[in-house]
Amino acid sequence: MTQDIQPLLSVRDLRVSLPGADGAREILHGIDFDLNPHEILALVGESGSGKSVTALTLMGLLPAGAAQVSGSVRLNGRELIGVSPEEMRQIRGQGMAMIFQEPMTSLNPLLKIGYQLQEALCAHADLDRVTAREQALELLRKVRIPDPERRLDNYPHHFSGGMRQRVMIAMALAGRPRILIADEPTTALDVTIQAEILELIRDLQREEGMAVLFITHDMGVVAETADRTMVMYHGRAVESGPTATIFAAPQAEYTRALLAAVPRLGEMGAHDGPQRFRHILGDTGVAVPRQKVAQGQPILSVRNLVKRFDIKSGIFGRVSGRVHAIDDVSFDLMPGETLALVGESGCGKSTTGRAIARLIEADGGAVTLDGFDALTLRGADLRRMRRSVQMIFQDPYASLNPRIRVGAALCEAFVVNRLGTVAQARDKAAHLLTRVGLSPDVAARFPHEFSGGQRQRIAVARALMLDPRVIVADEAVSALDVSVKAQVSNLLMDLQDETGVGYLFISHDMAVVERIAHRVAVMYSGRIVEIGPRASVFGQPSHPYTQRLLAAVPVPDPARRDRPRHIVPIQTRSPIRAPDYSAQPLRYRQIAPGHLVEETSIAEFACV
Amino acid sequence: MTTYVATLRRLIRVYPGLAFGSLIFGLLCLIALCAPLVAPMDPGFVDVRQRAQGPSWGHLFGTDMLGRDLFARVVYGARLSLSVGIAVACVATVVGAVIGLLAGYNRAADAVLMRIMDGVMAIPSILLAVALMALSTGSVGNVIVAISISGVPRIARLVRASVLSLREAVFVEAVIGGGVGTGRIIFRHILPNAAAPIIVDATYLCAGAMLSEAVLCFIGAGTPPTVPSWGNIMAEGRTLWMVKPHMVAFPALMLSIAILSVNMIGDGLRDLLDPRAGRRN
Repeated sequence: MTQDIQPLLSVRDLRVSLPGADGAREILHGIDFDLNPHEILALVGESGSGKSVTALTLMGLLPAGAAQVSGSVRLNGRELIGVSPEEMRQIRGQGMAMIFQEPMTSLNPLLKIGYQLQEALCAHADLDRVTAREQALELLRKVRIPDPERRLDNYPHHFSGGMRQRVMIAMALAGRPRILIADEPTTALDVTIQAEILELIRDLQREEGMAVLFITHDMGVVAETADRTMVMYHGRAVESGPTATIFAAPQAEYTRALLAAVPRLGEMGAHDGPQRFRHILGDTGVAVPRQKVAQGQPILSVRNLVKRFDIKSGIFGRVSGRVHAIDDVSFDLMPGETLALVGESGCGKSTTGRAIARLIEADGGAVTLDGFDALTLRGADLRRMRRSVQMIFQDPYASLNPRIRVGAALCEAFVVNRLGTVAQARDKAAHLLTRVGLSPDVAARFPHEFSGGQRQRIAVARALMLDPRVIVADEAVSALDVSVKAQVSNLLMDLQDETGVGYLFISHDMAVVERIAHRVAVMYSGRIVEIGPRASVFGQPSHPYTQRLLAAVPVPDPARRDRPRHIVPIQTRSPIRAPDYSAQPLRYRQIAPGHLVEETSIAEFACV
Repeated sequence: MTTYVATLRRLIRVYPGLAFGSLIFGLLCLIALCAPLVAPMDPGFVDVRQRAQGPSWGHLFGTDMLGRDLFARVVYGARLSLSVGIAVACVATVVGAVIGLLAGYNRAADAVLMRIMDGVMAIPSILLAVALMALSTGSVGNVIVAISISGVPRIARLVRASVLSLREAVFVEAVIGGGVGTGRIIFRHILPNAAAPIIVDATYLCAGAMLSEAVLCFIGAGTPPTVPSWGNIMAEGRTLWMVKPHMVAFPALMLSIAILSVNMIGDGLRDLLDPRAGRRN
């Protein structure tokens, strides 16, 4: 659509080699693209596709000396490959500016926000202090930070993740760049915050007339923001074109596979019960009929679970307040059922899972697990109980001991619990490794020899070694690439069919939850605000928080980009209470069979 | 077999300091072990006619004030210095690791043990060793104990810090969730992951202990003068060192070489074991 316009940034045959274990390794194998003025171009791909290396190369931020760059990068007709570091410094900021993924670590914690902004401003223009401060204020207003006069004198720790990302964007705007490079700017943020930041970037792009190079792995985010899209795979561009065309008629096999794996909220409609993801490289392969959830006795029953963390202050460690991490949480889990616990960071969903697995001690309530009173057991009984509930953690890189071979890691708990001989343990480990899609030979290898997805499969196998009745999957697929995410989710569903294990599936990813869950519990500020069958909760969300959460999920369909959304930024309720505070009892109203909505918390949303 | 040779070659190429330090230290240990073969003369044999001779073919390092062969004394002295260094490193590491593990795993033990460790650390290590030696008899065992005590807090703090961070590690939680007992978690999962900095610190302790031992012997608070050690050889030679510098120079040189080699091993191990160095495998 913008063929006749001179491109702002023109990249031709860009090749980058970085030093690896055995000599230089080519990471980018010749990338070509143009970025036109007033355009948002998305670079999308999975980890290792070279999208971040592309951004760093454009900014001249690759390690000097180590990286070999060839090809051509022209900004407004000016060649950037081979310019001196001083010239590149001038171009950074004014020509191009960049924002990064991790807003928590990209600001200096010891300096006030205002100072850091003024520093960025003064780097590009000769300003006196008063003007610099005024311009810094102007920048904070631009990124819509409320009460900017006061916020200017705050330190980074006073800001939430979303607010920090706004500050980072403000700093990037300081030099009035022609191009803004955004490297996964919303990946670390909650979904409602992500929606706000995406909207901000779109607005700023229009107001400032910038071009944006948007790097992401999330097809939903691409569909929400980008005019054009380039799909990258292993250092090559496999496809590029207008976003709508790519989503409607993907040409490359890889793009089709990628889009097929993207979970889409709402595509399940009124379909009851979970469904496998479509096969990555197959055609449809849709619904395998799944077993019905057994009725009768729940396998896990949680009643009025409470967990508080004391905040101590003063030299005598007086308790000055309590964080109400979980308040009055109750639910049941049937054998063979998946209950998804969803909510934003800090809502207490992980704490709930950890309290049930007894990795932390709850402060009140009751948990009945497979007939055990799980909260009061001690010693050997506790260890026996632990076998019934296993956890799968989010970070596949941290959940395996780096110094222990995979086989030993799998067998350890089995042998220690005297469930059988070492030989039986090895047989079972080999069987489970095959079951999760790995070769039994991998038992002799160390965790660092595996990719993230493979490690997560190993973690699943380890959880299954003890034949648990319940698996607490704490963001088990959140850190994985989209195609791997689909595979591991399918694996979890298949294993459930075979073994009848119940999953407590803790996640912030609504689209995966829609696929995998029988029932959904929405948590907000330590309380379950809505719980019910998945189709019912997603079909007719009744609590204002659930509605907000679902509205914020990016939709991987460019045609629906301009759908009306009502995401009003709200001040999240602080879970910190005075030590003598006693919580109001929660009141649930049934609006459909098994679908409960909490009523006392609705009032908190009424005013906004 | 060839793979071992290849690995060794690569280690030497990538970590020349470690290889060189190990070579020197190995040679020193060999000399100390085979002292009677290296120096056939009796280090205690007094030959009054040969007093305070300079180095010659008969006496490579010369003789001391009583006419004893300095080369033999220095070689036999290596036995004491090296064994004290190695023994102190082992004793302090084991005791420090146990204390650190206890403190890292139990809050009550932490409060008591770490305050004691702070107290020990507040006293200069040589002073502490001298005081302890003053309270006991001058034997090799007592020297080892006296020097070890001041080395324990260092290891204990290191181990405690590692345990505190590792017990929160996700893989440890996963193992706890598997119903594995505390003892196994500590010794199979936590300690091996904390081992690298402990080993590195142990080598520095070893070097420090050899120096402390020499100081103790030099001021006469160490082993009995009948046992030759680099410290007491230097002490005996110090009255004449302006005119006969060899009496101090040779034991001092050996001490320096020994400490340097151990420190080179320590630095090399730190680079080898530290994952952040990024040169692993």
